[in-house]
Amino acid sequence: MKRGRRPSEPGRASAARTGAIGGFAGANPLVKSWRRIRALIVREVRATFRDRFTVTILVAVPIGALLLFGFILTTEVKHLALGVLDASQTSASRRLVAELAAQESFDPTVVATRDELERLVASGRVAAAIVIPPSFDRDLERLRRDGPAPEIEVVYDAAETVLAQNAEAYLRGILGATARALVDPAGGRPRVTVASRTLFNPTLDGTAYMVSGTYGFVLSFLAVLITAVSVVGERAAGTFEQLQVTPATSVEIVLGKLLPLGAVFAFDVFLMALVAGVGMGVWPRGSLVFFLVVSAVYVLISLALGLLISATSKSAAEAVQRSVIFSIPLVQLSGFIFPVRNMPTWLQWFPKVFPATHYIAVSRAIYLRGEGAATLWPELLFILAGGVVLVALAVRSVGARA
Amino acid sequence: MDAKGDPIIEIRGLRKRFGHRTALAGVDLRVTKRQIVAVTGPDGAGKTTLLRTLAGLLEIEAEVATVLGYDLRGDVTELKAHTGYVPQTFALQRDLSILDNLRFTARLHRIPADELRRRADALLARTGLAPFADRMTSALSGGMKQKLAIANALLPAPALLVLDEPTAGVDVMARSEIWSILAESRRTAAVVVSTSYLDEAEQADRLVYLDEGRVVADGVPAVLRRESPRELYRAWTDDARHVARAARGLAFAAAVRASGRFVRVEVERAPDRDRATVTRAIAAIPGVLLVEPLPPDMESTLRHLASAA
Amino acid sequence: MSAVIETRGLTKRFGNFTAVDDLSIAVEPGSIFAFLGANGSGKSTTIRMLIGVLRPTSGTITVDGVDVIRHPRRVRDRIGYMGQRVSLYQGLSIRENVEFYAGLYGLEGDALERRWGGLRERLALGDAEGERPENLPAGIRQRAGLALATLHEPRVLFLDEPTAGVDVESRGLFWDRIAEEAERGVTVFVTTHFLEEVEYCDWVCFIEAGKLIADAAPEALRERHSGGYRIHLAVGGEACERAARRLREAGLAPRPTGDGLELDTTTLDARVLALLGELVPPDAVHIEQPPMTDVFRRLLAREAA
Repeated sequence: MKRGRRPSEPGRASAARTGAIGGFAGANPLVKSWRRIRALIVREVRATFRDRFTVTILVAVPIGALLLFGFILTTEVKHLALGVLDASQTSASRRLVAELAAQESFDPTVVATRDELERLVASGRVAAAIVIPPSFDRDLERLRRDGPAPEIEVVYDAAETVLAQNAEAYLRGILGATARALVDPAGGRPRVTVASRTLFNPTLDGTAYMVSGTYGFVLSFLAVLITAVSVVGERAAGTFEQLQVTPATSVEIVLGKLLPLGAVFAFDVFLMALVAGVGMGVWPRGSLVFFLVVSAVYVLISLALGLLISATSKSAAEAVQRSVIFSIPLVQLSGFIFPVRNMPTWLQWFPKVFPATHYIAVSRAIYLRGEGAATLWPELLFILAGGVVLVALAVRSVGARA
Repeated sequence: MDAKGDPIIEIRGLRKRFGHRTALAGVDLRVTKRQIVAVTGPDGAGKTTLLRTLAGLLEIEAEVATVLGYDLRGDVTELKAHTGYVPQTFALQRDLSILDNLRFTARLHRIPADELRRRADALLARTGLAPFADRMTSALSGGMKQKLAIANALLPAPALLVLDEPTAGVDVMARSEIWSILAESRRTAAVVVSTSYLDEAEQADRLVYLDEGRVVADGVPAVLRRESPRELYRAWTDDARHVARAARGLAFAAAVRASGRFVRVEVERAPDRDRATVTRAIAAIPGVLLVEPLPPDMESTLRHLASAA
Repeated sequence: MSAVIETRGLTKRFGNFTAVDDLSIAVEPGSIFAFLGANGSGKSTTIRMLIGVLRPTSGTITVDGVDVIRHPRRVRDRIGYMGQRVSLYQGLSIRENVEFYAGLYGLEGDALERRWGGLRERLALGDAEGERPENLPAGIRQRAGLALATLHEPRVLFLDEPTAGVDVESRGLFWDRIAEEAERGVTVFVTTHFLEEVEYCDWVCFIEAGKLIADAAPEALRERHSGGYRIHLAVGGEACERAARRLREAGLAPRPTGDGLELDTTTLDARVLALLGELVPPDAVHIEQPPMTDVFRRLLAREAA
C-alpha cells in the first residue's frame, strides 16, 4: 500500500537545504548562545515594563517597606511613658528621676502608691514602671563602700516584651550609670547618654537598624514572589513549554530571567539606599558600593529561589501562597525584627540555614558598624555558596521534563 | 408556539458589554417552534454570551428580550426553573455516581422521589448511561460526562435547553449520540446549541451565524446552502496535491483544497461564467480524471457568510 | 525510505493511569500525518513526548534520526511546534513575538524580513502585526502561532489541534499552509478531533484510550470500513444503455434507477473515473463518498465487538 506522497524532487531538495537554517551555518556556538540570551532578555524587559501593575509593585513595595519599617515600626525607645514610684523620697532618688526625665527616651509619670503604679501599667498608659525602694539612700551608701548595687524594680506589661526588654536594657544602663555618678561624682565617668549607646543594644538606633534589615526583607520576599508568579504564568499559558522546544538551553533561559530582573532589583536597592539616605538620613557607615555589590549577589539568589518555587507550583495562586509561606518564617526568624539571640538556643541554628539571615546580618554590619569584606567574608561565602546551589537547582528545574 | 401561544424566544436589539468590550452588538432572534437552533461563528463572536443571556445569567440591554414569556431584564428566577443550561465547562459532582448526581439535581429542583425515579430511568435509557448508573463521575469518559450534564439539564423537564459546545472534543460515537438526544428533546423543548462542527450545523433545524456580536445569517441550513452564491466542484484525481496547486492558479478559484481522492474547488458565482466553462477549465488540468459539479456545502456557505460579515 | 518519525512501544503512565499504551507508529518524510482522537485519548501526551518535553515511561522515539528521549536538544532547531495553547506572549505585539522567536533560532536582519514578509502575506497577518495577542480573535492568533512554528523552516512540524475553536476561514488558510509545507518536503504531524480534516492528510492514526485503533491511509480505511462509493448517473435512453454496457464490461454492476443508473464500488480508481468521464457529461455524475464520520463509527463498532 502506498504510504505518504513522494514529494517531487525540487521539494525534497529544498527541505534538505533548509535544514541548515536553524542557526546560521558556521557561526560560533557562544555567539549563537549570546544572541539567544539577548532575545530572551529583550522579551523579558518588554514584557515586564509594559505591565503597569508589576512596575508599580517593583517601585512601590520597596519604598513603602522602607518607610513603614524605618519610620513607623521602629523599635526604638523614645518618649517611652514610664511610671515612677519613688518610695525613698531622698535627694538621691529625686536626682535619679530627674536624670531619667532629662533623657529623651523617657517621659516619667510619678505616682504615690503601688496600686496606682500597677493600674498605670495594666491600663497601658505607661509601657514600663520602676519602683525605687525605700532603702535607696542606704543602698547607695553600701555601693560607695563597694557593696552590692541598689536594686530597682522594673515593672512592665508582659505583652510588650520586645519593647520592654529594650527599655529594661536601657534602664539598666541609665540606672547603673546614674548610680555610679551619684556614688562618685568626681569619677569622671562619661555622660550617661554616650555610655549607654556604646555599651548596649544597638536597637537604640532604631531607624538605621530597621532600614538595614528592610533590604533583606524586600529582596527575599518581593523578588521571590515576582519571579515565581511570572514564570508560573508562562507555564500556565503554555509559552514555557514552547520555550523548551526551541534551541534555548536551560542556562540561557535562566540567565534570560535572572539578568534583567536582577538589574531591576539591583536598581531597587540603589533606589532604596537613596531614599533612606536622602529621606531619612540613614546612610551606611561602611561602603555603599560594597553594599550594592553584596545586594546584587543576594538578588540573584532570591530570583533563583523564585524560579524553583515556580517549577513546583501549578498556578499563580499556588506560587503566591508558597512565596508567602516561605517568607513568613523568614521575617520571624531571620533576625529582621526579632534578634536571633533572643530565640531559644536550640532554635538558633535554623535561621542560619537561610541565606536571608546572613544577608540581613551583613546589611546591618555594613550600615551600622561600617564593616567590610575583611570581617564579613564567612557570611559572604555562605551567601555565595547558597547562590550557586540555588541557581544550579533552578537551571535543573527549568530543564526538567515532566 | 408554546402552550401560551407566545414565541419561545423573542429578542430584538440585544446588547451586552463587558467593560470596554462589546460582546453582543444588537442581536435579533425569534424562536416560535420546538426546534434545534444551532449557533455558530468564529471564536469571540458572542456565542457564549448569547447563550448565557438566554439562560437568564446576564444583565442585558435590549428593545425586547423575552424568553418563555419572562422578561430577561426583570426577575428571571422563574425562567431558570424552566431552562436547562449546559455551559462549556460544567461542574459535576465528581465524587457522586451518575444516579446520585441526578438525585442531587432533583433535590435542587425539589422534584419528588417517585417523579425523579421515573424521569431518571427515562433519561438514563435515552442517554445510554443506564448500565453505568452507579459509576463515579470521575471515572467517566469525556463523552459520558457531557451526556450526564445534559441529563442533569433535562431532569427538571425544561421548556428550553441551552447548550454551549456540548460536543467539543468528544469522540465520534458520543457526538452523534448526543445529537440524537438533542433531536429527541425537540418533542418537549426548544433547543439552542452552539457548535463548531460543520456536520452538526447541517443537522440543525435552523442555523444562526454570529460574527462580532451580530447575526450575519439566520435560516434553515438547506435553504442557506441553496442561496449561497458559491459553487462547488470536485476534481477527482490520483494526485490531489499537484492538481490542487494548479487549481489555485485559476482566476476564479476562491478556495482550493486537496482532500484524498479529489480536489475541492470553491468558486464565487458570476454572471459571465457558467458551470460548463468552469468545469471545462478544471478538467483541463493535467491529472484530473473527472469533474463533478456539486451544490454548495456547509463549509462554502459558512465561508461565504463569514466573508460577507 | 526510512521514517522521519518513529516510535516503538511508546508508553506513558501517570500513576495508575495509562495515557499512552504501547504505541508504535512510523511517519514517512514529506507526508501529512493525522493523529486522531477525542479529548483525553492520549493525543497531546503523545505529541509532547515526540517533541521531548515529556519523558515516556517506556519505549523509543526517533525524530529525524535522533533519539529524542536521550538527546532532546539535538532536534530542536529542526522541529517546529504549535501547542494547543498558542505560544504568543501577552504584552508583546505579534511582530515582537516574531523577533523573539527568530532570535532564538538565529534568524535576524534581512533573512528574518524576507521570511516573515512571506509568512505575513500567506497567513494574512499584515493588519495584526502591530497588535497584541490579547486584542486579537482566536483565528488570527492561531495563524500567528503557525507562522511562529514555521519561522525557522523546520523539517518536521508538530501541530497540536491547530484548528480547534477556529473559524471556517482560518481553518481553510491553515490547511492551505500545511499543504504548502508538505509540498516543500516538510513532514507535518497534526493532531485533531475534526474528522473531515483527516481527508486532507496522507495517513491517519486513530487513538482511543491510549491505544492505536487504526493506522492507515484515509482511503484505505474508507475501503475497509464503509459500504463504498455510490455513483449516480443521470442519463437516459440510448446513452443509458450504452453506459450500462460499458460499465458491465469494466466489471461493475450498474442498476437502473428512475433517472438513470446507480452503482456501488469499493474503490474509485483512475480507470473507473476516466470511464465515467467518457460516458456522461460532468453534471450527470454524482458520487457519494462515505463520510469519515461513518467510516470511524463502523471502525469503532467493529473494535467494540
